[in-house]
Amino acid sequence: MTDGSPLWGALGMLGSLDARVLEVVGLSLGASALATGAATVVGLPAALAIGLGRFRGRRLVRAAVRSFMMVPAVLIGLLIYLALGRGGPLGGLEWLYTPWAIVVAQALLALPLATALFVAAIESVDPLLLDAVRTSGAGPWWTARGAVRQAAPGLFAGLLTAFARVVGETGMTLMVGGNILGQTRTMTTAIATETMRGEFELAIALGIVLLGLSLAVNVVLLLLEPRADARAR
Amino acid sequence: MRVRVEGLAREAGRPPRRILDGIDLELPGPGVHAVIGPNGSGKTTLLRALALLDPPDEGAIHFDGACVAHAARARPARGARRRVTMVFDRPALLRGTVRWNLEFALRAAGAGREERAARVGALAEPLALERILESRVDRISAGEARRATLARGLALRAELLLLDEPTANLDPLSAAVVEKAIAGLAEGRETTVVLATHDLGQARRLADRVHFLVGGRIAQDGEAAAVLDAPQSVALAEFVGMENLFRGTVEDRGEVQRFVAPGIDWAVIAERAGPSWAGLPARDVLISRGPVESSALNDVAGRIAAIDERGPTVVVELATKGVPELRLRAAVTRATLSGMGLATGQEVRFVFKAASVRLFQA
Repeated sequence: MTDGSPLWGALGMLGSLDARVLEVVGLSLGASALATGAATVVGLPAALAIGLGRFRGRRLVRAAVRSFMMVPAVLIGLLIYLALGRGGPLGGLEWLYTPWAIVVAQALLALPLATALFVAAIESVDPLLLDAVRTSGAGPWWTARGAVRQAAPGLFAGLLTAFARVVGETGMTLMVGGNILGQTRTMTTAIATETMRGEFELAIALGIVLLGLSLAVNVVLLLLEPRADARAR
Repeated sequence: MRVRVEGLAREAGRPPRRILDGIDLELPGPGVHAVIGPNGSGKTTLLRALALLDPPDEGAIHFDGACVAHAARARPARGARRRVTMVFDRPALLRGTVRWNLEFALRAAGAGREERAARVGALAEPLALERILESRVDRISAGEARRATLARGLALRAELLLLDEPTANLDPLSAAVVEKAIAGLAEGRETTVVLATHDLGQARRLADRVHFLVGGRIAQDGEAAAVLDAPQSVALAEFVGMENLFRGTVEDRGEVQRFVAPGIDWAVIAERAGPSWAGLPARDVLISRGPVESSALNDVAGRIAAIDERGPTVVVELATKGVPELRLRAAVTRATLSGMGLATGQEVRFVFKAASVRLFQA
């Protein structure tokens, strides 16, 4: 490896906390965190209703959520583009090519995945534990609280998985964000752009950050695994 | 609380199997009621229905005269669940410390901070929980977890407390602690306790009344001693471990009735003739080395085939001389065994009164 290689240049950028790297990483993490948060706010109550509810058509709803997981990201990008575009029903918000468009699209992408993983976590709770809460005279609110507490490691794993999924998304983010430098350029879109321009230093630096992020998420998931599997007494 | 169950039926599984098949039950008020019965008889299902966790498929449940669960309704009456709590046959504690679990249940039940602390404090000593109150539930033993689960049930001070096998798999010390707590509750005379148990000794020690459940139906109920000492069905006789059970026919021979089966012709006291089961409790049988003159009408000769000294009493098994050879069991004390010098192979006689033979409809 020579001093002029892109890898050394990328490591140098990371070491010196290059402003361009920080800006892109900050935007990416911020948008994906907001999107995952929004997916959790909607997905967790939905998962509790599906996981704890005893309503007609519950299995159908669960299957529908799983089906939405299969929807290609680029299709969600198209839908958001059409909705936020000038002639679209939400065009008045003027969010297209802003970070908000990325947040909305990523939230929609994360929602079915997060919900399905939350449902799985809630349904893995020993039903006897929930009966124990119910027989304390508790209503649905307390039963849900008990379920969330017991399923916490599984829920957190679902949240991290959804985050990892959206932070690594490229095509959809490019479509609705526009890849505008300093405004909507995320890690993945920056890597694509810089690579096409032959500017490998920034691309490699961002790639290392993404790789590190992915590793970190996997380590946390690994740490959560035995706890998620453990049944409380 | 007064509890009345009318024609309660529950089905489960695929294809549906009838677990409870028309239960009629009356719990007149505070006290301890034991529900006994073999595995699969429906004890847990009955308790879950009483806890209002599973709705009846048929029938209804009334608390103090008010209908709280009915086959026509999917949900129990509003507020009724707060009057009842169930302690399951295995620990069911949420992630957290023992104290957190107790407090969580009390918070869910609407108890204030001081009330919660007082109730948890009041149970720590009698259930030997002081040492583990701040321990995480995955760091305590199975016995401690069972006691913590019971503590949660007791802390709620529900009017109806349902205990499913509260001492199953507990060491004798933990079982004694749990039984003491239940006995304490019975003394208070404020709670209606329903105890599902396999342990007949426990039912005898703790329960005022016993309900024998078999095949999803109450086969016999009444005062504990009356039910356990005088089974009226062959199922209960088998369940309480009546040692000598035979199927045959009661014949009415004028002044005396006889129970007749291959190798058996015993004097019995019967209300009617016909096919019947006869049960002879081993403790009602006397062993004699030779013929005896007594009021007992039954005297069966044979030789000792086996002596089992493992239990609290010694069980002596007699191989009768009749054809076919039968095995009869008698229970004696260890002092009798050594005093009489009983040994395998000896010729002896088993003597018992006609009144000792319990007859059950076939």
